[in-house]
Amino acid sequence: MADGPVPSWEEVARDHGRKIYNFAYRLTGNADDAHDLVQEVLLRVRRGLASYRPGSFDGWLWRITRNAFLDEVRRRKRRPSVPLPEEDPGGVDPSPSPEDELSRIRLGEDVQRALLQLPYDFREAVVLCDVVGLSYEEIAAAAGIPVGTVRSRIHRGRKMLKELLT
Amino acid sequence: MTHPGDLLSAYVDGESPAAERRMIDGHLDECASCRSELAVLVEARAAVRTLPVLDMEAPRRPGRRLLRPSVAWAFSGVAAVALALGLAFAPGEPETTFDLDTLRDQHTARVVVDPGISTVRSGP
Repeated sequence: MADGPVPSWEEVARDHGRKIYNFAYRLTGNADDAHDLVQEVLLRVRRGLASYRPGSFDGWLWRITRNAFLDEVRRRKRRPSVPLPEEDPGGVDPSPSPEDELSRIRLGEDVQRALLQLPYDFREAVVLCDVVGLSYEEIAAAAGIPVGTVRSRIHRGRKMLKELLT
Repeated sequence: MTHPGDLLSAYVDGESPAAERRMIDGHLDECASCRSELAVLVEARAAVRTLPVLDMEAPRRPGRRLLRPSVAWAFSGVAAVALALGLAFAPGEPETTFDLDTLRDQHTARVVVDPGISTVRSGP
């Protein structure tokens, strides 16, 4: 959708809602938080489309998405009764049954748990690259950082992830 | 060439410029340590890329209100538009359809069951 005509809100919801949900879920490990973030992002997109000028639509959309996510994290820090996702990556069952173990692997829970242990900047870069499928330039535009920083964060994030999974 | 370090992830992602890619190709032929590092990156990348793509679920926490009330109210309008248009959040899957006649019938039934709405509207 980059450099194309300005999409309607309905097109954004239809074409990107699922990706935004998966982005949020992989960053938080929590379906409810991911759902809330999709709502918030679509609201912001609705408000912002009027002033959007054709350019890198993905860069624009993902900048809104990550800002919405960071706003929510900051808002919760001010109201600490609600646990932050990073503080509760989920417990580990000390003796899972073979069926549980199979299910856990199938759902990628070990990978999800490892993702939640990465520093936020690394996790975000890895998720935008490998879950959302953005290019390094698009990630740089969304996060407002140089491409070299994106490269470094993805690299370090992947190395840490592999260590956590070993 | 010195060890490519964090250039390797860009290499794995096809994000390296052609000249850099050629240099890394040459270096990997010579350097076992960088080949091991490359294997680590490829595995980590594959682990995340093969995570299942999740469908959006409705919130499960009862009585939860994470959004600010103003935002929640505004979204209710947005959601209504989405539902009325039969939007699906999962591309490639059967579209969710929404029967406007059913919605209208339910609304009518609610007015009958809760005549207070009509009373308020008709006024004194």
